[in-house]
Amino acid sequence: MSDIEHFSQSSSDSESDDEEFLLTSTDETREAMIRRKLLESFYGSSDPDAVKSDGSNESIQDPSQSIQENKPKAKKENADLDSTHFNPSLYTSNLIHNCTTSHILNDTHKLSQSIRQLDSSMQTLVYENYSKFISATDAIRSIGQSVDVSNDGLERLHEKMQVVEKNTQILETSLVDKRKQVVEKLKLKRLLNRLTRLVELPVTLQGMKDRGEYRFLMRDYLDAMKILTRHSDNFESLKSIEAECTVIAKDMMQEAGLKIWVWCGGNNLGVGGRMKDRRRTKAGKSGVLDTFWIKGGMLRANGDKILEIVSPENVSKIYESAGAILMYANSQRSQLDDNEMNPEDTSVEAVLGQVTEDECKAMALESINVYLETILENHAVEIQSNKSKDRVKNLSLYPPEFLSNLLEAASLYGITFRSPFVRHEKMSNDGNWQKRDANLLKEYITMWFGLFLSHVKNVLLENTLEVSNDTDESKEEDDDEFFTAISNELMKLVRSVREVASGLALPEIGIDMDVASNLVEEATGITESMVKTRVMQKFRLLRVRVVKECLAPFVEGIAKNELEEARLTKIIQTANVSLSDGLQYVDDTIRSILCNDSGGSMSSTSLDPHMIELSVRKNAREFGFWLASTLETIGGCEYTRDKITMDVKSIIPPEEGNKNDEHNKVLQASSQDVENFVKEGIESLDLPHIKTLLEFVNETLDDKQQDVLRLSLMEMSKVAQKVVSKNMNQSISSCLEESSKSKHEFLKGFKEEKDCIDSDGLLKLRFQLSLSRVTNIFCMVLGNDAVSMACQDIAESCSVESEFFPHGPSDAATRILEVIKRVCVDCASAFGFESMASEVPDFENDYRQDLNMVGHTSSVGGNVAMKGLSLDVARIFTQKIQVYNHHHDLIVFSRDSIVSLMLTIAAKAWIEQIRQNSFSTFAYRQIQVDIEFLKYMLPHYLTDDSNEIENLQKTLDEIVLTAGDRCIDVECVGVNEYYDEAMNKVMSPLSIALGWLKEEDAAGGRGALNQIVIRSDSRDISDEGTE
Amino acid sequence: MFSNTSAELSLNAPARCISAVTNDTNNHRFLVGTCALPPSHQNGQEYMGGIRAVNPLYLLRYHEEMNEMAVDAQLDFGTDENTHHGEIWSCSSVPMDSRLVITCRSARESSIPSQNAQAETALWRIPESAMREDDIEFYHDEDDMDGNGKSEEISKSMEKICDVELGQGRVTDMQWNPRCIPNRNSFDDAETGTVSSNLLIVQSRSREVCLSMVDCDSSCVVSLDSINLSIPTARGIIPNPPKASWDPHNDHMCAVTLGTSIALVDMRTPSKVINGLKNCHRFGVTDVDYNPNKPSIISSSGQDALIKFWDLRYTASYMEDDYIPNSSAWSRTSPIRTIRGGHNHWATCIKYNAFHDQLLLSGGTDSIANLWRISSISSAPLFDLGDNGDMDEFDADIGSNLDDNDSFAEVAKSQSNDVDNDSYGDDLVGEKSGSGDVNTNDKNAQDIRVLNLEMRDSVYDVAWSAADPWVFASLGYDGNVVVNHVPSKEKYKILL
Repeated sequence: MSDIEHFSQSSSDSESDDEEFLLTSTDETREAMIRRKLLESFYGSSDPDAVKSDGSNESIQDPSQSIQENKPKAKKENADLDSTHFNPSLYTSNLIHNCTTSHILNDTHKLSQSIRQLDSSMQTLVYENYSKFISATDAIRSIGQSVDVSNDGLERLHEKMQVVEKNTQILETSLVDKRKQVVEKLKLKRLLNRLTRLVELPVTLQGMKDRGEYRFLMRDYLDAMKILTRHSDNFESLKSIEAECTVIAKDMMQEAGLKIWVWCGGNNLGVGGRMKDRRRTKAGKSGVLDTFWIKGGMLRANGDKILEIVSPENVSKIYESAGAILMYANSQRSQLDDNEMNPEDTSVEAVLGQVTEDECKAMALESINVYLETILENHAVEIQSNKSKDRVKNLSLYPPEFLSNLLEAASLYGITFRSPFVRHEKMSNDGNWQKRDANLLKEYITMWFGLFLSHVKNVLLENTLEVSNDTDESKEEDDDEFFTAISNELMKLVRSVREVASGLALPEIGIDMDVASNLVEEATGITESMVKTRVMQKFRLLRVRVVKECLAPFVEGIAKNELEEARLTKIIQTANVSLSDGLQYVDDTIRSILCNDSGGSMSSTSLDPHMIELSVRKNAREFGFWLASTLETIGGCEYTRDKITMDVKSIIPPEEGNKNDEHNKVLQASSQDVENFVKEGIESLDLPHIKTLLEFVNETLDDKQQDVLRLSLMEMSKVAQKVVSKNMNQSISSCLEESSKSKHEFLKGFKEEKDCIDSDGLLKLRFQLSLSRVTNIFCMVLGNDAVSMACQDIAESCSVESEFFPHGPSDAATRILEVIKRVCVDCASAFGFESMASEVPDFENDYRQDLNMVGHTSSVGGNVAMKGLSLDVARIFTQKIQVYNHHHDLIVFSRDSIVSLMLTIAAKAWIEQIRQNSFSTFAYRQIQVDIEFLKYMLPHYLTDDSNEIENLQKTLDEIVLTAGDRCIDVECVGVNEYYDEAMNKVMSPLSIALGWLKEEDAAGGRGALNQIVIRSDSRDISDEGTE
Repeated sequence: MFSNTSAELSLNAPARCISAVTNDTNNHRFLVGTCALPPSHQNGQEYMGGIRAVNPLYLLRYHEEMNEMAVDAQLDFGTDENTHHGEIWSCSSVPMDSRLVITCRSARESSIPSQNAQAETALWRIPESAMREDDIEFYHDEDDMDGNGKSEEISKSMEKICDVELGQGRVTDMQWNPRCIPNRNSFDDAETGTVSSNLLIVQSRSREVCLSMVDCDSSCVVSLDSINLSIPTARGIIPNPPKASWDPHNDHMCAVTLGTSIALVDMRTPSKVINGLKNCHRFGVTDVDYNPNKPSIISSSGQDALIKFWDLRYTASYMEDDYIPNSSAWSRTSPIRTIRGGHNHWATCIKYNAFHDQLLLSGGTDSIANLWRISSISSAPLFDLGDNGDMDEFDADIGSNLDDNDSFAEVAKSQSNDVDNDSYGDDLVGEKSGSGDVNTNDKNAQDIRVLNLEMRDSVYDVAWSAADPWVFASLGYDGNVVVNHVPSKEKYKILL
């Protein structure tokens, strides 16, 4: 009680102290400090606790704090009511000095309020503590009173326990004998049980044999034999049991041996056919089984039995047989360690007793091999028999049981050959066996899987081969559906292979992860290549379709149309239409592959969409290259998509670095043809169609139609250059967008890429190249055309001797100009070029000027007679010109380049013609006049300041030089002024030409002049003119 | 060895024909005929000092040891007053006798010799003294072949044995029966087999090609049979000298260029032309040559600047009596190989190497002569092409051993005997599997351009040396003769 009083006293003390502390009189600071320390020691902690205990007041003090916020920082600490360094007097004086009266009053009010609040809470706390103390003292007091009460009870308990112990000991001793008897009886019972089992052993064994549990049978038999051999000498009955068991075991051995011998192919040893096949397996090759195969023949004691042996029902049967044989062999070996077995012994026991572990494994694996092969064969047969029926529904690519059997074989292998009772003790000492074992199994599994995959591939091949090359629409839809079925089936296959692989990777089977994952990879490889093949096939069919349905009709259209009716522009339009038709087909194809809606598309299956897209893109690009080369082939170029055409690089390499880059790109672009061809192999579906088309072009189209065809092909390649890759990109990305809405968000990234088909610009370059090549052919044909017309009678005309001077340009010159005019007009209407470079030079004016010039020989440099040495010098400086453009050259597509190329070709051919003839004076002069005339007329067809015109003039001069070489009258060569005695005036070749022009013009302009001069409204005239 | 070097000689006169002296297998001898236009009047002397030289036949010899080319003799056609200076359009050395040569020259009667005018074809004997065996004396160095000074020493006159009676028209090609094997001393030894003629002469007439079977003897030349083939009209065709080639595997057969087609002639049949290839080259075929080792393969060059190879077995059609070049019976077959880009104007001539059918020469009016190795369709395609580095080392070691010319010939002959018809299919397979990327000038490719020679003027004729299968000469129209070797790298690639 005194404790409580003291407690209450002290607490009341502290209460008054606290009041004093808060109210603070400086005298009492010491006491306040002591009390506070006491409190702290009671509550266990110093400052933070003190703060904590004050924490409940914080919210109340906050307003005052906020009021004092504007005070200087140094004083802030002293003014903080919660701080330990709070200075009340300073705080109060500060308040009095700095604040208004109302503020101070407010503060005072608030302070007194919070003081009161603190007071009351302090009181409650103290009271709570107090009551706890009271209850504690009560408890302590009650404990002290009841400690000694239970001592008696405990002693009584101890006595009773001792009694119990004594009784137990008595019981124990009395029961010992009985217990021993029980144990004896139990032993007896067990022995009796075993005896029963022994007696019943033959029956059990027979049962096991019938069920095919050879391994258990063999285990039991071996166990039993250990006992029986020990005791059978003494007991007649045991002896008979032993005999009976041995017979059963022997039977079993015979059966198992024979079975496995047949299963692993020993039976076919004599037949030979199968035997050789077997050789390809590991065991067959290494010859492990050779002895067994041969010796197994001895098992064939009863020939009938062989026929009865059916193929194994499942893998476990095989392992049963093999395991049993191995067990037997092992036991035999341990028994007869030293006794040499008689190799001549042909009894079953002898044969099987000699079998080694390796042989057993080989047997088992071989048999499984045969078994699995049978599954595949059966499946193949099934497919063949189902062939005629609906192929979509009956599609099955692989026998479903194969993979499960494979897995079973792998897992049972470990169970059979690695279990302790099968393993021979001696052999397990060999450290390497595990590794060897795993390797053997690995090899077999790889082989089996290889067999499986090749079977699947064969089935696929057979199925897809049937997909005909027909472009028939309905057929293609069929194909699509069929393909969907195939790809679904493939997906299933991949899934189950994955399962098998994960099964194989389990530790019990002990196959490496690598092997397992390889299996999966191979399986997915098949599906991938299947998709790729399909996409490629689609694009190949597309090619055929484009040739058959776009290009061929177009060419035929040219053949049918009478040219007078169909204007060139119209044909060019048709060309563009058929090109866009072709691109529409491309779009259709891409859509059918990539888009979902059409049904039966590839993306509807669960195949990797990214892979499909890539392969579409690749094929689209190849299609572009194909189109370019096809266009040029139809235009008359060599077909470059086989390896027949050998392209040789130009011997003139481009000098500038920039050009060099371009040149390399051109080479790259043109080499695409061959590269693609190599990839595709020799069979291309479109080639025969192209060939037929080419034949048609060559046989049916006349010359003019061929020209028109080339012009339109030029237009097509020109357009294709811009359009093809753009269109294909568009259709791919639009397809992707559609499908990506539903699933593949990640593909959207590709849209950003501008030109995924032709990112390196090669495709565009390829079209440019085909444009150049067709243009080259066009120019070559027309150039040669011009010359062959011009030189028709060169043999006759060059030997004409005449006293007179040429009257005007010969037919040769006008014919050449006629062709040039035709080219200009055609190009103008086809490509929208200007039909002429400038109006016909003002020859009347020139004629007059020229007349004035003649006589002042020295004034015009070109007119000075060149003789002897100077001619030689001129010859030396004749420039070597590249006549035909190299097939890697890109031409500038313009009227000037076409005309000049054509004219260069014509000039060079003319030179060659001149070299084979010799010229009379008149013929030489005629050439001089012709050339001057041509040179004079050139600006009409070619832009005046172009490079081409300069080169052309040089080439034309060369004609005169060559003719001079071949002129029999040396005197006249190089003379550019003739004195016409009859007319009594001096003439030059130019003046003759101009004179002729003037005459022709005067004649009304409807004659020869009209054939060569392009009128500004020439489109109408040309149609009449070329008729 | 200097086997990669070349020798050059300028004759300073336009020339269109070169012929190896085929009977001389010890010396590299060539005959070149020039075709400078003679003055119309018989005052040739006036121009002797000028550029207007007479047109002698030049006998050239290439001295391999010194890598020099020299004129052994300047052969004129007799010294009597009938001598004229007609242009030599073609010449051919007689394979049985190196001193005999047949030439075709413009006849002097026609004042303006034109393409179809009368030409004089005759058999000539080269004087013994012209066939020099001595070493080079560098007489040609001081002599500019102007026809004066020392050149008189080499100026020899030939003896005309007889005229060859042919119809009108310039002779453009002469082909000897392949059975006329060089190195026989007498004509009797030359087995001509079942064919009595041993020379095929091709003449050009206006829009016609005339083929004459001729029996050439050391004393006379008899024309046995002749046919005229008209050139089918085709677009843009420009006439050029027709050429022919005698099938080395069947001496009844020969191929003749006929405009844009090639006609196959069997000399036994009455109609002669049995078959043909239609539209071989755009604008015209310029030359044709049979593969010497592999039957039924011919090469052709054309005015479209292409060189093409054909397998005649694809032209199965047989023509009865009528010869209609444009009929559908003439098959339009596709070539088995096309070379594009080798020339940039007409390819004028093509010549197989007689021993190694991988090697071909082609010349063009773009002044380029090319040496090709087209091994993919040859009788001995390259299969394993080791890297070049090894070959370089080989050069040094083997170069000296293989010097002997005869050993080359032996090797070559043994190779050519191994020609196997059936291997053709395999070859195609080999070609497919071969790495040969035709677009790169990969030296290991099956088919490559080995050399290209830029001449100064158009090349109308090329010739392989008779003495060494690795030496060839090309002739520019400006009279430049360039002798070249097959690069030893190529040589060993083929031999080893």
